[in-house]
Amino acid sequence: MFINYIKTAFRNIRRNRMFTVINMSGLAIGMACFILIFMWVRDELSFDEFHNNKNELYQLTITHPNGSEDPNVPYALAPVMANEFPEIQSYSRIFKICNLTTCSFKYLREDGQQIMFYEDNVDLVDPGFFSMFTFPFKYGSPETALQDRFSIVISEVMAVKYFGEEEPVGKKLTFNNSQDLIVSAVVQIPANSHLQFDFIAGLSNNMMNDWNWRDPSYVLLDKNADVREFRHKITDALNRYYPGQLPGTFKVDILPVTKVHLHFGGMTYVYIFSLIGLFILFLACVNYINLSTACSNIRAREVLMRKVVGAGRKQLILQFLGESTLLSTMALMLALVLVKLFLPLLNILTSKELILSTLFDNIFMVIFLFGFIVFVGVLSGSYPAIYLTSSHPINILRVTFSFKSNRSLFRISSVVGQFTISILLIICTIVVYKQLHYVQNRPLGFKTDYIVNIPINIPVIQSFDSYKLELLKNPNILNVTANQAKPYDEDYKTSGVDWNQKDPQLVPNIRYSITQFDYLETFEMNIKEGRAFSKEFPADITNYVINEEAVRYMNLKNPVGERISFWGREGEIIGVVQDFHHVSLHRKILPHIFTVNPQFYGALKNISVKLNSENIPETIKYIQHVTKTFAPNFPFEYSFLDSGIDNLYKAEQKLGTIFSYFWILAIFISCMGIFGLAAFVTEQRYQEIGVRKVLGASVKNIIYYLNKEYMKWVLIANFIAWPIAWFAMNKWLQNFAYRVNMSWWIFFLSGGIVFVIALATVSLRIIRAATANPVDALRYE
Amino acid sequence: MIRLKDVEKYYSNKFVKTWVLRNIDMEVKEGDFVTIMGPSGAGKSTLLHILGMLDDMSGGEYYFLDEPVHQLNERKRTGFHQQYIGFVFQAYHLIDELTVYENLETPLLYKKVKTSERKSLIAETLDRFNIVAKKDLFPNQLSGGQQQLVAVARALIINPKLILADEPTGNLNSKQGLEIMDMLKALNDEGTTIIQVTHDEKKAAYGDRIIHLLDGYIDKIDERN
Repeated sequence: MFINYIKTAFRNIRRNRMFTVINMSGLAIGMACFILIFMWVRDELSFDEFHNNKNELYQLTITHPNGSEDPNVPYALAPVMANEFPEIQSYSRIFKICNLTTCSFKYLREDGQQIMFYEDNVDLVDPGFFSMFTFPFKYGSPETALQDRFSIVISEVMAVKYFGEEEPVGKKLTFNNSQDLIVSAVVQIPANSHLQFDFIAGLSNNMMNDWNWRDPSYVLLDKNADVREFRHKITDALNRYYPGQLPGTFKVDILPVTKVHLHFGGMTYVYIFSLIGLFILFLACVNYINLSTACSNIRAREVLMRKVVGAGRKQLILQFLGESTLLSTMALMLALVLVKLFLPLLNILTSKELILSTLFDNIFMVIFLFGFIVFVGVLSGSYPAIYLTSSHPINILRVTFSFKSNRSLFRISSVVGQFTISILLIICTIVVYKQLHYVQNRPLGFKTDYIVNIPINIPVIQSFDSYKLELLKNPNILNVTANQAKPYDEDYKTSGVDWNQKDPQLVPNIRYSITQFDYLETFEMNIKEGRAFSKEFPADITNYVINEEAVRYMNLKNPVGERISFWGREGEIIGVVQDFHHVSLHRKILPHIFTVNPQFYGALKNISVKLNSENIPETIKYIQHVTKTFAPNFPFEYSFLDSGIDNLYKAEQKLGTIFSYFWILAIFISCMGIFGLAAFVTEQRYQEIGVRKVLGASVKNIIYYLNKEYMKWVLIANFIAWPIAWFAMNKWLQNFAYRVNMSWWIFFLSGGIVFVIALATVSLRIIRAATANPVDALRYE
Repeated sequence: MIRLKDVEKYYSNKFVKTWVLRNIDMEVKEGDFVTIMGPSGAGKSTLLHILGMLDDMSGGEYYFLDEPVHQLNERKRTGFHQQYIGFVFQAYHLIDELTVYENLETPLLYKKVKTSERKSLIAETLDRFNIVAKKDLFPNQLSGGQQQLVAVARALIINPKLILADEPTGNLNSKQGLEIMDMLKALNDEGTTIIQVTHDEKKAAYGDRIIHLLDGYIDKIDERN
């Protein structure tokens, strides 16, 4: 009996090849999409789960008076809290040393060759670090790794970079050409760890009095600690311990380490993509059920015959459900093949290393997928199984005529639903692209083309003027400066600015740039009033340049000549620079102050060199030569600034690409659904089309007549999609301080695209039916 | 074997009842060959479907082997199909996806006949109907006459007590039609009860009794011997 069913199933598939292919591939694509997104989401949610102490491990956070949550806390906070609260078993701060100074490492090989690079991922930590976090050690052990004051732990990647095949433990690395460190261990950093470091060394002092706040701190709580009570107790810790007055109430809190990765913004993307995944799965599912149900009419006669020769109802139900479950299982197989094929692409897009086989580690996913195919199978098979077998055999042939009115509400709403989702996704894509285009092409207020960035080192800082002079001897080098940050980089803010008539209650929030001379000229910023810094005025080292926003912020009538003080050093405002976009367009331009005071030169991190557009490779060789003569024991590295600017909008670019993949997919799935339904409807109306032609209807009449219905649905879908899209995109655009407006044409265009695609799909089918010989249609029993 | 008492059948369409069959009383004994005749729309096929339990009746009583069919549930009725009744239709109604062999096998599968017995039954039937060479072909690879032959073979394979034939020769040419009729006659001679519906006087003549239907009533019954 079973073999008989299988045979019938496969022969049916063969006979309705087109329907089966459309149907199954649609479901398979939907499932594949869902699985891919699921894998991504699961990876996002799996961050930091590998720590043995994950349930007791927390990051300290601070909520500012304005409500924003800060992952960074003062360095002194964790130790003073550990003294007060016995719940804290152990703590560790992260001190990202590369934010303060450039870091370089050198390894002297036995054959005399120097291996050296600049690095920007060097962390200093407290001794308890490796007993709190469980990183897998490749060499060495967590207990001894940081025992010695001059030992350093490196990541696996760095071990290969510096030592190649050699055994790294015990080797000597020289930090910034001055401090020798011994490699004590090599750790593997899992991709799903929010802490990603290349080098780790111990903090040399406990910074009990350092209330600066740039980096995160972590605490390990006692297993038996009452976390709720602990959280309550620590709320006011910062305000209590902070030396001096804090402007307002800063709330201290703890965040489980497993939540850190997604807590500061990432969760939104997890929600968005989960939603998209479910959407697409839903689309595919509805299509599949719809089309299988539609096709099942063909089986009516078979049902009749099987009943006549003695089939019971139970047997028929089992046959149909089995058959449809078989089909959905095949779709799942196909989906897994697709996932295998497209996983590398997803990995590139998301810079992850996902592996298909891990999908089955998750028992819930296996149960879900299994349940899903049974669910889809049963649902898609239930119409023929239950409806067709329920009536008296002889009525079955009559049943098929009433099919249309019976199911049309479900069918209409599913078609409208698909159109709606497609239109929605197209609108979102266009808006995302438009905004991206806007932010990338908006005048930033400074120029970065042909500017080369070189990490600075001590010998070069010390003799910067002669270094600069040497470089400028090359006619292809137009300008040279040094700075703490590239104009678009991580911003430095301070409250240490004072001016006349400042409201004493106000805690200023002002960006600052510590630079060498010629910074404004190198980046071609516009001077609106006054002048830029100049060597000709020795007093300029204590003078300042501010931006237009600062003029408004400080409420200055005649800014040039006003006296202000920065970190206690008073000076004159010599110029006003036009507002420029210091950070990405997500954020508003803030007041800004520039200084060239040599007392701050310790903070300089980059040399920026403006080149002529000709002979660039040779010019770079020249720069390398000059730099090497000044600093022979430091590595030479360089990068062009243009590529750095793109990084600012990486998240949006990724979003744009991923959205465009998904809308193409969604439209594709919708089209398959529409195509399948159109094919089915025309098939059902084959006879009607024949009769109409016999009565004198032209092909054009018939196309118009049958299309009318579909186009009505597209129109309804537009009216549903537009307000939803407007609302969602409006919300997203709020993320940007500078944004495009949503013009009406976006909505019309999106609607139009779907309209045309639907028209084409349906017409293609209808034309085929309408141009056939009407007599064939009438003979069709 | 079959007893109908005051059987009636109508379709209700809002307030109007459309009568198809009224006041049908009839009796068929084992071994009978009954023909039902009448013009289009007289209710012939409906009567046959009711007799074959493919359709419900609106009123009256139907006894099959003294069992009250009008009171039976679906499972029991299915049991009757499997046990006693074979159908032959004008449009053959073979299952397109199955070969000749598999079409013959299907009723046996539903009847849960053992594999070995099934195989010998099918071989026997193929032999008897002279279609051994066709056993692996699909219905659409056969001529109309051959298809009907398979349909008859399928009806007979469960060795039914009753064969219901709805214009079995309607789609066949006269030579093929005669062959099928001869076969039915031969079966009848072996003791199988046959009820056929036809338009054709000549085919009607094969039966012992002709029931004439007109507008849903039994118009007259011709007995012949």
